[in-house]
Amino acid sequence: MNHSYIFMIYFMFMMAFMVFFLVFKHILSSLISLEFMALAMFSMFSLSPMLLKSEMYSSFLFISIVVCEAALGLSLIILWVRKKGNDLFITF
Amino acid sequence: MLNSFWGFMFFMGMLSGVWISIHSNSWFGVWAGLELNLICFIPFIIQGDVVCSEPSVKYFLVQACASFLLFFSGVSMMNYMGVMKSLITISLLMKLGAAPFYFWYLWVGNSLKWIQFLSLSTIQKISPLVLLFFSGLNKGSEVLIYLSIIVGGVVGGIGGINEASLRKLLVYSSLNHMGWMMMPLMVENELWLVYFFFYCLMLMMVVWILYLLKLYYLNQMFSVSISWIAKLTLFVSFLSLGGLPPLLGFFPKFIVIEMSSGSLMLFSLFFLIMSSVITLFYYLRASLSVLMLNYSKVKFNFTFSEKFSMILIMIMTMIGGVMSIMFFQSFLQ
Repeated sequence: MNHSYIFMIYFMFMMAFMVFFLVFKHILSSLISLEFMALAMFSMFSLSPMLLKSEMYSSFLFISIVVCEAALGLSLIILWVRKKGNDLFITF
Repeated sequence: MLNSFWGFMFFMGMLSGVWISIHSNSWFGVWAGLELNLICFIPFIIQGDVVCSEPSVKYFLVQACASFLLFFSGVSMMNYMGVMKSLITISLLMKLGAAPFYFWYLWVGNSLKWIQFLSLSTIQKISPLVLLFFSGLNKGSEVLIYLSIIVGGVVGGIGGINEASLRKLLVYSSLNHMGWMMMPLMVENELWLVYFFFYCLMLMMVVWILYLLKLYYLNQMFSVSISWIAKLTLFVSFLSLGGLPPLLGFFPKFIVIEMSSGSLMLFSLFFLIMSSVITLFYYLRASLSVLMLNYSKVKFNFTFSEKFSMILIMIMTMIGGVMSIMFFQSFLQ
């Protein structure tokens, strides 16, 4: 594992960000791409201190806040489904 | 919201999120504060009813995406400096609802009640603006902020002409005022905070009257059950928001013009002044229709606190403009 692998994680994040903006039908797809962004950042937080040979406690803090936000997103989808009946962005 | 225990905790969580992100050393603390602010603001929007699910989902998606982008570009700025600086600015503009990223703000602002609209427009704007100021990333590459100022000013002026919903009108006006606020922010001058404070005050005055009268659309203002003192207060508050001289709203615009009139920013200042005249047009249209159509004298049946707040608003608007010139003499040197 050498330093040029960080570029792959940047690529992962940028792809997840681009996928978030492509129009979907379901709101759950947008939440999944948000989680993919968080996963790319989590791997960056875990890998780069390993390469620099320093401590890696920041990844735990990061992942705990991301989990709170993901739970909030899911409960918002449940609220949407209770009102509209499905989780599509556009219903007729 | 502040009545129950958990409502109070969520409101304090919102304010602590803003506080944490302002006072932190690294992008990690900034992101943690922004996430805390987002997580505590969503229950504030919903407040128990299912009707507000749609604006909260839209708000959540945009803000979560922008804060991830901010964190990522802040952390990886050592490797890809030029790209990441503009990405940080882009993500902060997305969080603010400034141009060219204002479409979510229109949809979300149109679906909220007045108290939630007010906190969306004032409290949620504090931390991105402070971060834009303190990050200092706008010294060499000001093109993005110039774009935001000019496009925001012009869109905020012209976009509100065809609007009948009062919340959308105030969203377009806040786009315009964002353009004015980012003028001093771009050259790292502290006067943007003065403008922000005055804008929050004026917006609170307008929204408070509309909240008391429960007005959400322009055609509701023609009702005869609005007493004349409420109409007059609304008229004066809207004029102050538009920036007419003896009133309170003229003063922040005056100090921005004073600050930037001798410098290279004269081009964007021209666009801002022209577009604020157009915003004055739709404020006048909203408030004159209150005064002129179907006028009949009714006894005003407000409580003492509502009457007191209206009189306070009139005093602050009319006398505050002159007083602030006296108090802030040092700014004008």
